[in-house]
Amino acid sequence: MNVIKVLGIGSPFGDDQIGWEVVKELQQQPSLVSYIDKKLFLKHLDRPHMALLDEMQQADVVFIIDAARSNAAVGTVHRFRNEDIEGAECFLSSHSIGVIQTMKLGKALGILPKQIILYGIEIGDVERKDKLSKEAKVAVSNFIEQFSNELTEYCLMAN
Amino acid sequence: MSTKTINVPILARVEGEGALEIEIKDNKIEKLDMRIYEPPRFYEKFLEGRKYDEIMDIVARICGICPLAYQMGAAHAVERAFEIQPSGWVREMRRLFYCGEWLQSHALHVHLLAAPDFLGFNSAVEMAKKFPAEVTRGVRLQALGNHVIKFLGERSVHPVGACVGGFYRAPTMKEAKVLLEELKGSLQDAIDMVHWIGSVETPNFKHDIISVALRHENEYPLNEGRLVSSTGLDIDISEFNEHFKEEHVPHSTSLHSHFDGKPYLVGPLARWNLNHDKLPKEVLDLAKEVGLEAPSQNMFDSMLVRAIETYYSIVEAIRILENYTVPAEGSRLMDIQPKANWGYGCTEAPRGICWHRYELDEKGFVKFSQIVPPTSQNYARIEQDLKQSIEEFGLDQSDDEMRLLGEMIIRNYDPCISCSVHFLDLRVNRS
Repeated sequence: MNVIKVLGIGSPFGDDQIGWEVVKELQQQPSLVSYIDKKLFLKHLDRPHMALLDEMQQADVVFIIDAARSNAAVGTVHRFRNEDIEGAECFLSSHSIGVIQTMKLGKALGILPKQIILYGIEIGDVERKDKLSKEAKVAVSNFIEQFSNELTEYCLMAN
Repeated sequence: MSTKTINVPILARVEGEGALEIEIKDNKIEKLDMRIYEPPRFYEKFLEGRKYDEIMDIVARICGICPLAYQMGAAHAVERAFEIQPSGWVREMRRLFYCGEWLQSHALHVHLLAAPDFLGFNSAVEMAKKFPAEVTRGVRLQALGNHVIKFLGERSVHPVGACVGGFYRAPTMKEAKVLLEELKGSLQDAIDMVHWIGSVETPNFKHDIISVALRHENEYPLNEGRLVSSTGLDIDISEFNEHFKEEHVPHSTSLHSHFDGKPYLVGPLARWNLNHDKLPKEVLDLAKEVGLEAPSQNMFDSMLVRAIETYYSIVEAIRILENYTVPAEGSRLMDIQPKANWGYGCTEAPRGICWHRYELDEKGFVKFSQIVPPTSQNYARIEQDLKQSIEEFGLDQSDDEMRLLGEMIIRNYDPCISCSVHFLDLRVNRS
C-alpha cells in the first residue's frame, strides 16, 4: 500500500459541498500534514461523472466522501466498502451518472483500486446557497474527528 | 378506426430529462411529441447586468459536458463587440482546448451512451462485461479529453482557465511535452475506436437532411467560420436570426428552431457533410477505410463521424502541441477597453453550432443576451426523424420495438436536454 487518495465530491450548492469541506478540513489536520502529497493525496471534485475512474487510478486505497440523502438525521455517516458500494442508494447523481453508476462500470471493467471506502454524510435539502448550513458544519466537524484517526492509521501502514 | 399511444416516460442515457409520446391513428402517426419537461433555466436573463468578464464563468455552468462551447462562444462575441483580436497563440490554444471537449464528449457518447443500443445491451455497465477492452478504451479517451481541457482550463469540468482575450496562464513547456506524449500514445486507441464503430451494424434510414455547420476556408471548424448549409446558405454568424427562428411549442420547455421554416441538423454529421474536405488526409483515409459516405444522409452514421472526429481531435491536438511555445507576449490581452456594441459568437460544440449574441454597454455590462444551444436546434429535426424512421420501420411493430427505436434515434443525436432548458418517457397512443 503506497498511495492513499481522499476524493471529496460535491457541487457549489449548499450542503452538497460537504465532501469538499471535509477535504478542506483534512488539509489542516496536524496528524496528516506530513503525509500530504507524499502518501496521502487530497482532492475535491465537482460532479466528476466518469472522470472519477481516472481520478482513482494509481491509488491503492481510495476514500470517497460525498453527500448522502436517505431520510436519516442530518450528520448520520454511512460507510460502504468495496462490493457494498453498489448497493448504496443514498447518493445523489447528475445525468444519472453518479458515484454508484461509475463504481459499477469500474467494477465491470476491473479497473477499480483494491480498496475503496465510500463515506456518505447525510444532508438535508440541497438549497441554492453559497455556504454550508450550521448542521452540516457540525456534521463535518464530528466526521473529521473520527475519520482523521482512521486516515492517520492508513498513512502509518503505508510504505 | 384504431388508435394507439406509445409512451416512453423517461428517456435513459441522454443528458437530461424528457419523454416521447406517439399517437397512431389508422396506421399513421397523427401526433409525435418529444416532451422536454426540465424547467427553463433563464441563463440569458441572469447575464443581464453582469460585466463582460463574468460571462464565461456563468455560461460554463449551462453544461457539465460541454462548458467550453459556451465559454468560447461568449469569448468570441465579447471580443467581436469590443473589436479586439487575441494573438495567434490564443487562437491555436482555443483550438486545442476545444479538441479536448470533442474528445471527452464524443468518447463518452460513443462508448457509454450510444453503443449499447447497437450491440443489444440495456446499459454501458452490461456492455462493459462483454466488451471490457472497448469500454476501457472509451474511459481512457474520455480521460484524455479531460486532460487536454485541464491543460488550459485548470480543471476539466466547468474550467476556469479561459478568459476574454485568452487564458489566465500559459502552460509550461514541460506540461506541454507530457500532454503531447499522452496524445501520441492514444492515437492507436482512436484508430481502433473508428474500426470498432465501423464494424457495428446500425440502422440505415436515409432522409433528406438539411445540414447546417460552420465552415472555415482553411480548417475543419471549431471556433470560427461562416454559417453554411447543404441548401446553399453562406452567411456571417451575425445574420443567424435572419434565417433561424426559435419558437415555443406547447409540449416542451425547450425552444424549437427552424431554418427558413424547416427542421435542420447540426452536429457531427452536419459538420462532416459540409466540411469533410477540410480534414487531413490521414483522417479522410481512415473514414474511407471504414466506408463512411461523404456526404451521408443516414443519421445513424453520426456515431461513426463522432469516432472520426475523436481521431481528428487527437491529430489536431498533436499538431498544435508539436509547435507549442510559451508566448513572449503573454497568454492574454491585458488592455481591454469595453465598447457599447453588439457581439456575436458561434462555435462548433460537440453536438453542433452554439450561437451567442450579446449587447454590451460602454462599461462592458450585458444589456441583452441570446444563446442558442445545439440541442434546441436539433429538436424539430429529431421529431421529424422519429416520425419518418418509425413509419419506415413499420407501425405494426410492437410497442417495445418502437420504443427502443425511438430511444435509439433520440440518443443518436446526443441531446443535451439540460443545455436546451434534459431524457425519455415513450407513450404510444394507437387508435
